[in-house]
Amino acid sequence: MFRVLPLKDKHMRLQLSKNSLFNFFSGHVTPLQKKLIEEWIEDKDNTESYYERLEEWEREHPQVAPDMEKAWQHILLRLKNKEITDVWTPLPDRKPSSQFQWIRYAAAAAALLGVMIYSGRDFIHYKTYKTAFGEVRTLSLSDGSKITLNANSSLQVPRFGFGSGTREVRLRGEAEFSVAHTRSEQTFLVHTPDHLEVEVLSTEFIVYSRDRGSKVVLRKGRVQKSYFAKEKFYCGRFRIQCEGRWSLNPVTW
Amino acid sequence: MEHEYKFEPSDHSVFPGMRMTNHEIAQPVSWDDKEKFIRKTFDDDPQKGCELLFKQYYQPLCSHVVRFVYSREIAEDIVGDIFYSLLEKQLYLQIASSYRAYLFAAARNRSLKHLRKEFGRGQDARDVESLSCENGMPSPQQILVYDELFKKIERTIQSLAPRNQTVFLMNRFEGKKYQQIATELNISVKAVEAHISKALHVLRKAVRDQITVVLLVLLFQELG
Repeated sequence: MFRVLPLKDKHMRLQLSKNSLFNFFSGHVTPLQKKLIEEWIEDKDNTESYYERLEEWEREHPQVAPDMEKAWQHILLRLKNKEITDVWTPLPDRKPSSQFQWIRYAAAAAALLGVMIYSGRDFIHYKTYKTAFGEVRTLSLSDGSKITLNANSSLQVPRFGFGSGTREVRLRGEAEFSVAHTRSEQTFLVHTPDHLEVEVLSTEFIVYSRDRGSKVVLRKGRVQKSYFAKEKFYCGRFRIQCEGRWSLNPVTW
Repeated sequence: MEHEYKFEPSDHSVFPGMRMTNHEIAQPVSWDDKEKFIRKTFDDDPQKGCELLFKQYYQPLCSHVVRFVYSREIAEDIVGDIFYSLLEKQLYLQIASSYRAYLFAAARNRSLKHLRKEFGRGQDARDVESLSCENGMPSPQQILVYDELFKKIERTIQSLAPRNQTVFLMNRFEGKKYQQIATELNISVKAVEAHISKALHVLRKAVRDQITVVLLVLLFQELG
């Protein structure tokens, strides 16, 4: 276990006071003293003494006052949840690559989920009504509005929140709207793929949005039409007030 | 054999600061009763043994590690981790030296590993890992280069401009956020950032070469 040196060797040994080692730790030694101490340390038998002095020195010159109880509890906790902790508490001595491994997986999973939600968001948010070639369909919405979908059209109605706050639908194709008036004077918005927006309170109108272009035909009441201007898309949208003055073709039925 | 040590007072408990007598110096004084007691406790109940070690050494170890990493938080993490792996990997079974020597050596190695991660030249810390002291104790040469390393860091921090030093220590030692420091010292957050990156730059420059020296010595030892 350890060696007891013969007495003769003991006296040959280098003498070193505690103070000179302390001074050495603090960096307050002359080059000659330093040399001496280095020689002392190089004797392997002094290694244990060296660490003992080091501990003493640290005790007498503390740099920090850590919360021991908390630290010990933390260690116990880590031991208890070894499996869990190993996965998600990066240990200080791990390589950075493995340290952030779980973050990568989490990010990948989150990204995948994000893509799924993003691509499926229409399905999640909207119920879609579609008419085939030659088919005409009449729908009643929960707020009492009636919509007649012409052939080859589709209408998307939000699954959640329709009628509370706003009433917004999306139309591709052609449909006739008979919008019910609500007490809270909610506006009814129709969006089309070319960013035409028709906003009404209560009225009857037809929205036409095909590849050829878009049209709004008013039958009763008033509508507001607005666009997302393509070139100003990023600055926000602007609204064109058009109370029947233009673009609403006066059609006699 | 063992009882030959028994009547030797371990000098720090009796006359701290006194010059050691020739007799005391001649023998390694580390295998004192406390060590033996802890060793025995480890045999009965490792966790209890570890707790005893922890109570005795946590504070001086943190104090020592802080000299290398200059952050209270990191120091506590590093030291806590030593005790954790002592139990978790059952490293206490392999300790051939005194616990004290083992713990301080482990603390130094882990500090170096951290410094390499923070200031190193971008290589990963794997080669240090293989050179860990967990089996063998560091040689005298290694001890000396570690001593040189922490002293160099100390000197570098002291050489910083006073304001620079204040900001750096507030961030690293007291764990204060940039915003907090800015408010306390009545300077802008930008200025705090500048102070800290200046301090880190100086430290990095100073520490890098010393780290390389330590690594070389470690490697050399490993090969030889």
